[in-house]
Amino acid sequence: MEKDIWFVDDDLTFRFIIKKFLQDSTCEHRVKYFDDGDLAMLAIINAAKTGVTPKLIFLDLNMKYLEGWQMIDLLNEFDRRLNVIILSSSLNPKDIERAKKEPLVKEFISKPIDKEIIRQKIEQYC
Amino acid sequence: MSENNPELEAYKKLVADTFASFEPVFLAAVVGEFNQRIEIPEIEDEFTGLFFGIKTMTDVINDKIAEMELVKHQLENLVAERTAALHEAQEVSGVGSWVMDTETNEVEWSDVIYKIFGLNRDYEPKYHGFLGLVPAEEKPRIVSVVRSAVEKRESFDFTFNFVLPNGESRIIRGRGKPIETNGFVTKLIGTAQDVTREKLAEIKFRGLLESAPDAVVIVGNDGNIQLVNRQVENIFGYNRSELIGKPVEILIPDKFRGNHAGHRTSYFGNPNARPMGAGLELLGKRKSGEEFPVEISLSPLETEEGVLVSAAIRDISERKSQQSELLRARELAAKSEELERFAHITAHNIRSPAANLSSLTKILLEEKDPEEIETVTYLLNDSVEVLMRTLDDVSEVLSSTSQAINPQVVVFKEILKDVLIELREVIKETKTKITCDFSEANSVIYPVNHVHNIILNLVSNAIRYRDPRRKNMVEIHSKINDGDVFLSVKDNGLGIDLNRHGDSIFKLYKTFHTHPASKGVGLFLIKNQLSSLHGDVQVKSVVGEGSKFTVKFGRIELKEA
Repeated sequence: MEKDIWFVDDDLTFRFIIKKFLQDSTCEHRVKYFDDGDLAMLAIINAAKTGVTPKLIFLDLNMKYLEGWQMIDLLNEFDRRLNVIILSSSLNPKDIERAKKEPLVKEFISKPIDKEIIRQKIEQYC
Repeated sequence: MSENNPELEAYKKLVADTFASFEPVFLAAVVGEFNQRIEIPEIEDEFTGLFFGIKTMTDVINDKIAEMELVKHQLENLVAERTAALHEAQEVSGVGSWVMDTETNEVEWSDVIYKIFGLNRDYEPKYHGFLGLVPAEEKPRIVSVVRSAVEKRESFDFTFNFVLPNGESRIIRGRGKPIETNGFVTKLIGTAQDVTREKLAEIKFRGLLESAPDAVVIVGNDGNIQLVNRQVENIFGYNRSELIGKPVEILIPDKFRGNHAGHRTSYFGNPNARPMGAGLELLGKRKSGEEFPVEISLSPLETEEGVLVSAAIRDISERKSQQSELLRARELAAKSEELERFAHITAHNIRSPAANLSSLTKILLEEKDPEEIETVTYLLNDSVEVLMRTLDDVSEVLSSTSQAINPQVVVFKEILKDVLIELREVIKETKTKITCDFSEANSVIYPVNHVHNIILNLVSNAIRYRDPRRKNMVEIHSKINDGDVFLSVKDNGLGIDLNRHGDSIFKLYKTFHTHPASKGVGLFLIKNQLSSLHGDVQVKSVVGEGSKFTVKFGRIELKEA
């Protein structure tokens, strides 16, 4: 069964890279990209109505409108069963500490990313 | 001598008539000469007439004597009355009087003096005897003032301690002056007064004064310093003796001296306890010439010599420096927070394109499809540009925060002219209409580079975020409100959704328009520069109508050249 995998990141170059990394895989999952946290939040709310929530969310932290941590705050009140992997270029210790404390956040991966790690995480959580 | 001889009576009348024409002065002189012991000499008969005359004159003299006795009696009554009044006055005032005969050393005391010294009336005062009563340590002073009075004809006024027979201590004020007879001092007269209470009060007052935490200066209405405490010596660096009798303005910086005399006079006109120069920063001046911030509270002192003013002065330079340290610490904390934020954001903004570069390079190495290679190359280039721009921003921020602050009179019109020249291409291209009104405030005291940066950023923002559907209009306007200079830049551009973005528009790398040229450094820099000089920038905006940024310039004093 196809699972939804979401990437929430405002960096279009990064999106291109992800696409390249996943294109030749045997991945059967549906991958969706969101430019910002707020768009992803809207999509989550809509997805909940149809009962199809993403299996895994790769989330950037620095975004213009709704930042990664703000989205985590909202998700905490909305659906605590989700799996989130932070995918950020941040090396801020505060971010890393917080990632450990948030039950929603399963992992914290720093950019640049490795193709194999992304694939492995998708296998692991889906 | 018979009084009933008719002949005699006749003669008496004759003589009386004769003498009636005599001047009373003569009579007085005669009385003076023969007073007390009129002798009637043996006189020959042929001189009987004169004899009778003299007898008659003696009678006249006796009358006069009687008359004078009466006057003397009246005078004595008067003196007694006066003396009684004096005694009463002495009783009331507690001031007793004494007379000392400098030849016999005998002393007379009034009743009050007996009371003052706690002695009975049967005590016979004598100078040396009295010296035996005073405490041994006070004897030399008393001997010395008495000797000066006798030998140098000097008056004296001094206080000495005395112990009553019942053991109580008293402080006595003794005053005296020499009385001369034929060029010699024969008597000393004077007063004595129990001033224990007053002295104790004064001692207590001086003690309080000395133990006061503040420097206390007591000034008479002539503006001269009458009393200072030790703290004054400590704080101002003068010795007491250098200050007593000097105008209080000696403690004030020269530039305030002129006004101070007027303030002082008006304070004496309406003395009440209050802090001095409410709301003003007051300065004191040390002996070394150093000026330092002070807090002063004034209060009037009612004294016998009139109203004195007591000024309690507190050196607040330490507090001031603590305050400014605190302020500085806060600024530093805010700055370090901002720098930390800046460091993280910069790290992020450098790491992001760098991470992309790393990934894209890997993709490029494996990519075979020429079209995809082209895309990757384009994205590589894009990432490099993002990286370069970030690095430019970093150096801009760093240079702006390390720029020296050198305030001067900055004329808005001149700065705007420079800015318009810098932006002339984009203004022409976008057909932006810029109007200005600097009539209310044509200049501000500020670092010129800050003003330039502010106007440049606000105007270029107003052009950058124009609404392409209408002619772009930018209005620049300055005004003064409550002594502060404000500058506003208003546009009719896209506007900013403030509900959504609020304060964050002034943060680093917060860009809200999906606009290629937008970057977040400008407003961050403006906000940072303004707040470092106690100014501010505010924004009002309606999406689709435009924005208005208003800058409040912090007040800066021009340093005197």
